[in-house]
Amino acid sequence: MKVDRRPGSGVAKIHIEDDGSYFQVSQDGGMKKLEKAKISLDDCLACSGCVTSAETVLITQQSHEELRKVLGANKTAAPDQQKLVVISVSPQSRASLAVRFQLNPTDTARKLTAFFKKIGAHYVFDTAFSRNFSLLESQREFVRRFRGQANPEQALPVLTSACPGWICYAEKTHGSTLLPHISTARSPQQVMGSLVKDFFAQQQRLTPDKVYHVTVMPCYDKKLEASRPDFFSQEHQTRDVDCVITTGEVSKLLEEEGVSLAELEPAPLDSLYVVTGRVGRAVSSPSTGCSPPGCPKGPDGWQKGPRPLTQALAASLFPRLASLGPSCASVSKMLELPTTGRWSSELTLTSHRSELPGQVVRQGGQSFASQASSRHTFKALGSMAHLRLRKQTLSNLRQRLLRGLGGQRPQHHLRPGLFPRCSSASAQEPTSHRGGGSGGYLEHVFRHAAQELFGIHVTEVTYRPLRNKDLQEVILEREGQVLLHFAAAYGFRNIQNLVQKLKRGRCPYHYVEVMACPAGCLNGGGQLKAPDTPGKELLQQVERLYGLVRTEAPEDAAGVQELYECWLQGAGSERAGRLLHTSYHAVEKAGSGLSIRW
Amino acid sequence: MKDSLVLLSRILAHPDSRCWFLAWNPAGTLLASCGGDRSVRIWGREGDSWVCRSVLCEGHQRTVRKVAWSPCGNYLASASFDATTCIWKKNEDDFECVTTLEGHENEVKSVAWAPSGNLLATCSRDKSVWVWEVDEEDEYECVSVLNSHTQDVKHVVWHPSQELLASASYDDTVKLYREEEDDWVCCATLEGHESTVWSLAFDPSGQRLASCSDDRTVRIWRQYLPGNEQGVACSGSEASWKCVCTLSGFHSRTIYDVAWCQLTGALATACGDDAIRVFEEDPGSDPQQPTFSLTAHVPQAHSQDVNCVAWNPKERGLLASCSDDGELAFWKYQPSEGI
Repeated sequence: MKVDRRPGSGVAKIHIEDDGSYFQVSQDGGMKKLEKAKISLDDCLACSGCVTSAETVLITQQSHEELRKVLGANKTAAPDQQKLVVISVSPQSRASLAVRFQLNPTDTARKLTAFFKKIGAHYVFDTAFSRNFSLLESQREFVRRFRGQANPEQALPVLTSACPGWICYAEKTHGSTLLPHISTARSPQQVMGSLVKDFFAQQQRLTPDKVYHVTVMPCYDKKLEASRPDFFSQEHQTRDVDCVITTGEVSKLLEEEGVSLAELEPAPLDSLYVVTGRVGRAVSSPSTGCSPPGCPKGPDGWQKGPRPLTQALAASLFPRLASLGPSCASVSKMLELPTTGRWSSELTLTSHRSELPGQVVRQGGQSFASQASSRHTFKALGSMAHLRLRKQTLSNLRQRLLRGLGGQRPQHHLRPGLFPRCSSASAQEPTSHRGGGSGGYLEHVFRHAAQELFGIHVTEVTYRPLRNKDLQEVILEREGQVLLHFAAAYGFRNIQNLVQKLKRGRCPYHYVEVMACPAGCLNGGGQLKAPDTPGKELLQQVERLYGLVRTEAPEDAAGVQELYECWLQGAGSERAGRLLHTSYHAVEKAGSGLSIRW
Repeated sequence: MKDSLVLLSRILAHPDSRCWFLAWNPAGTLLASCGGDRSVRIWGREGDSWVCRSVLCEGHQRTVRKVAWSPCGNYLASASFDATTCIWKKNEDDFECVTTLEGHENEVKSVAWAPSGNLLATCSRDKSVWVWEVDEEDEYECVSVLNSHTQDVKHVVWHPSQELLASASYDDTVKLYREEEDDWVCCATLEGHESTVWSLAFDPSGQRLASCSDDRTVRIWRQYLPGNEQGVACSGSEASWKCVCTLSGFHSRTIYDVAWCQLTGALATACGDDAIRVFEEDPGSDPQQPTFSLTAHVPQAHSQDVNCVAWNPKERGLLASCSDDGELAFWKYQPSEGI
């Protein structure tokens, strides 16, 4: 193969166009299209060093530059071409940014929200919320597998699934040996993908491809995870997570905007789900100075007072009730709720997102009832309401409606009436989970299993370090007998030893929290570095700031039970299985060049 | 000089195949050889000749590239292109594969035992160096995976008395590693060679390291501890290594192996020009700037590339060599007086 070499100093910059053509960018910015080099079998050394392997390409396709492109396109696109931009931030990335800018976690979260909205995002969420689901599913799954109630092929130990670096390694290197052991629970990133593209998109009455979902993560492997075919919707031709950017890339975005996070005015936090008087809605608080069109302002800028229940609304919320015949007035009377005959555009809570001047995403407010896509969510609610109606007295029903479906003790202050004020409804502080900076899987599954399987309540989990600080074990003992033997194995060398033990049938653990990075996610490859601070010290600071966030049990987190009921139709349902779990695929090893028969 | 290195005998150790490497056991009574025929052979002396005592052929699926005896002499490790390292336990003339170390992504290029006998190092074309620990029950666990090199790692060797590991690579550098807290770290990088570094050997004291390269030179590196008299700069509490001698102009092709005799201090080299050479440090040469002279040169030691040279640890002047032609040769080195 003849190579046309041009002498020159410095490294060439290559730019890949959307159509896959390559351009060389010279120092003055000039672009020159590069010829495609053709390689024949004769040139192949079968060296297994192929750069054409998808991974490098996949990683470069997702970057902060990609995000910029989408945000830029949104600004000038026609309304029906615009996308709703949602950014989900991981608590680990937030902790890293908090250290860099010397802020507490709450301020970091609020200022990040302000920043992302400033550059064109519409909603900013926290993946600690979706992590609740990952933890709950992991807990349930372990107990099932321990009791032998799951698929007989799925033996113990159970190995965690949240780390894509680990998953890629397991699929490539040990295929059939390891995959049956890996938890099927989706990672917080991918649960958020389901939440945003299924629940939230429906709520916004958008098809999933009209939502551009970005996540901010502490490593690059999360980009690979987002590109997995299992997380691509064939029906809507869209990924659950469209773009993953690392903490480092957020820092670049801030630099490019000439903004220091510390200087920004904090914005109120968004919640994906808020327990409301009637039914949960994503609530976005606008940045200062803006308000959505058609919304009469109260002293704090928002509509006050209960919303009127119109016939259209009642019919859409309770289609079965409506089909039974009662008119809007009767329904309202039954439920003792205020009504008016007038259709008000303020009913569209979802239009209460921050819209900066010149960045209108959708024209006007659109009614709930007029969107066919809304039917799905409402149908579910409607049938549930119907069942409840049958089972409960009307006064009970009213209580339930006011408190939110699911009957849980409400976590937030609720005003009687259908729609709360936005500013009081969303939590203004981030929450987190116990058990370390990689999500707390071991901790939560251990405590839940101890309770469920043995009736033992564990208050404090004691970690015992083994041969190195990235390998720790936890034991539940009773009268000298070991009931549960769990471990956390971080870093490649510990993964190696774990896998070898497994292969030889000598693994003593029931559950192992596996993370590819030594010290876990807080030390991920995409986290911010500090030139003046040694790595160890920096990590300690990040761990400290991560630990400042208030923790709560996943089953207690606001909105979780409600979403299980109204979005998933119950934990353990087919929907829950589809949206909160995934599967793995062994990668066939390509034979070495010597074994291939040419 | 022609009489300094005399051929004792020649054996076709690995017929129709390359003989890649040789290792004497600590007692100097057995010689292990390995080759492209996927086997390891154990040779023992019977009178004046060497005979094959055992053939270990069931261990590997591909070429066996290196073999190494444990310090106690009861175990033999074999590193193979099939990405595994076998540990063989000796029981008289029988060797049993007690464990197979897996984990490298591709060809394992070298294996070496630490003087303590508790640690083993392997290196691979996957650019990594692995440190393994063996416990009383012959269980091996990976202690560290070191990814300092940027290319194929060709050779690993341990310091004769300290737990210090050295590696040589296609990236033209030599790297040194030591334990720090619960992990291993790269504590020095020796730059100077202009091409692949193929092999390494420590001198008997461990104060100097010899490296040989595709750039046709042998370099001698000396360790300088912090606060050394010579005023060589050190970073913090880390020792520094400086190249104090370069042997160039002697070899006409790639130098594949270098061996430093622990008894006499003589330096032997295996070269791609089919020759074997021996060097000795000039008496009275300045330790900070040593000079070496060529004391033996056998131009057609083998009919093809010489891959390995190995000094017998107990018998002065006994040198073994092997080649791409599959042959194994024994030599007697007797430098004439008054060079």
